Amino acid sequence: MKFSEVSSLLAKASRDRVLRTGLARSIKSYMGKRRFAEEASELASRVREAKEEAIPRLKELAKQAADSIEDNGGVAYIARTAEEARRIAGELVGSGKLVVKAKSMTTEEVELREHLERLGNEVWETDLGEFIIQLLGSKPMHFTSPAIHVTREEVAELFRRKLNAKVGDSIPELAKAAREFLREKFLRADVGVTGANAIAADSGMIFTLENEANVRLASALPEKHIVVAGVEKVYRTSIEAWMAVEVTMRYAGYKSTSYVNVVASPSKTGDIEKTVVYGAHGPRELHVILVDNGRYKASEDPVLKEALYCLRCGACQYMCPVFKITGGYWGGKVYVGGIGVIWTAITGSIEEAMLHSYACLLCGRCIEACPLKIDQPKMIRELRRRRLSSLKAR
Amino acid sequence: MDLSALLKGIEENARRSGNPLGLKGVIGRWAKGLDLPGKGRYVIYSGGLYDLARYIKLSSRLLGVAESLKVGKAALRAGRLGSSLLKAAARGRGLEAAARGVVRALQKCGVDLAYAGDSYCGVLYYDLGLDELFEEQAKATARMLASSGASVVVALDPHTAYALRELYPKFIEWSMEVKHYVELLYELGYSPGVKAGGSVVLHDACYMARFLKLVEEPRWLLESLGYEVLEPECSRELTGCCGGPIEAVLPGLSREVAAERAVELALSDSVVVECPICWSALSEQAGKLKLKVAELGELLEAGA
Ligand code: SF4
Repeated sequence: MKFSEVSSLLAKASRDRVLRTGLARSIKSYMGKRRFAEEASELASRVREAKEEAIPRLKELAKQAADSIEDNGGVAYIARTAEEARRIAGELVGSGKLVVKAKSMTTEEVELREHLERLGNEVWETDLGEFIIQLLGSKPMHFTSPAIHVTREEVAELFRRKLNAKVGDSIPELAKAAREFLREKFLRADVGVTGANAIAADSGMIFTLENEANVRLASALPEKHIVVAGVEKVYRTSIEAWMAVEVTMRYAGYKSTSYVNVVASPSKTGDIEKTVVYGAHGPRELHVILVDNGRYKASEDPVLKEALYCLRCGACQYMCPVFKITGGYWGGKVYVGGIGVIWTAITGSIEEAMLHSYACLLCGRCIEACPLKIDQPKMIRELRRRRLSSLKAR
Repeated sequence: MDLSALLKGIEENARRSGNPLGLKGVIGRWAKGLDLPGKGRYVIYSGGLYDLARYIKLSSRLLGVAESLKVGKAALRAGRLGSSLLKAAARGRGLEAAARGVVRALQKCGVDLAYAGDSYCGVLYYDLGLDELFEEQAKATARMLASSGASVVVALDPHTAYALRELYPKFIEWSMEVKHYVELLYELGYSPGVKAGGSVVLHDACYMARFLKLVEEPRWLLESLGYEVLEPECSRELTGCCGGPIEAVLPGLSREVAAERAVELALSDSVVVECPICWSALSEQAGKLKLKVAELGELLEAGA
């Protein structure tokens, strides 16, 4: 990869007026909700302390979480690489199945949807923003608002073309069209795939935040529920996991999200003769794939380890002056924005990350925005330094 | 933009002339004729940006043009400014007077100010990951400043103050106390000879507000100078960057960032900045909105 590719990508983004308008609208709306974040700043500093305790013990905690999940009747896996995560999920799904997916950056990272489709499955993203991205064949442009760059007119046109939906340009109409299309998929789905915002090592409880109820449906209706999450999502206790969940929603711009889902085991009943059977109204099987893919190594890196504190709340992206112009064109193939550059370095191509690092202003507004005060400029500068020292060493 | 050519150019310039633009005999010009003693308790140090500002402004404009035309980039990269362009830069408005304004204000407060020479502080090398170069520069600067016998360095801009205070101790042996001049004026209760009037929009510099935590002090200073301070949409710790830090590497993007910030600042036709990088990055874009951009030191010069 060459720097000229990065600079022309960024130049292309700068010329995209639709993107700029979409970004400006979302950023303005987020700034109006910033008080929800500020109200939670004290809780946020406690989450930072929890992370400082958890990250150095990442391996041990992931193992403990896996044991707790298995004690509860689920099956847990620790996937060392993206490839291994794909393989495990692929074997669990098989082929010829209908899969409904909730939004999860980690599944993007391991390219799960593409993999399951290659195996001959029908896979649907069920978060509206992500559904739009899937139909567009594009990539998520923000952690919590993946379709931040698409206007309603474009969505309407897309739905008419791809879903044969008879819709006008009104947003409620568009949401209804998506609901109707996906409702039938939920009911027929064999497998539901979701991510996780936090996992408690002590109890095995898995927390997921959402507004649309698609995570509820995807994790409750199908026979099989697969959770894919980065190992850094593991906290010592259920209380700490909850604190992270609350801080994530607050800094994402919500006083509370519509739903917080907590799953600890497959659906079960003991109502007949006190004999426990799995698969009452919900899934009979729960599989949890904890993904390493560079995170263990990063947890031992004196500078980059701080990136593992990231809750993926998206606050820094809303507040970044470069992101305001480039949106998700900047950062790397999967992860976007300044924190995306660092996550690209950890889980993707270090070379790509290093080249993207030069677009950072090192202005530090992301530190101010971040619940955990993660020092992105420090890590980004470090990537530049490492790039130069590895070039010298050659 | 050819990144490796740019980095190489900066390195060559640094080794040849001690600054990333490769200019000789420019840094320290601002202090000509000031007649400050070589020794004292406080030593003033510009870190180079006030003398370089006029050249940075011009070269980033040229880089922007070159990038948009996709031609002749190598010829225009840092340090290859042609002599006619250098002359053009020398004629335009710069920030040397702003730096002198600071000295006058400090003297008015009775600060025992020395001048031991000037240099580029090296902060861009650090930001780009050129650590060896940064360390060499830090050593040279420290040696020069030590010759003044001062215990306190007074820095003029937030990047230099930050580099000296936070970064030098990580690279070299360094025991001097570092003050940004605004901090010092605040502590000493500066009061100007002439009071101005009218209102100005303050653009907090990122390094001033977030890294040095100097938020109230510049507001206090502007008010003592007789201005009403207007707060733009994003100010104080949440201030928006001027785009300047990436003007060499990604000039087009840098200008877009500046343009977005200029719109936020358009509350009054007078904008005050606290840093030569902000000044050079915002002047052009703010000019398009008919805003006048002044550097804080320029107001001190007027108020002295
Ligand atoms: S770096 Fe901080 S602000 Fe950005 S997404 Fe992560 S937790 Fe949120």
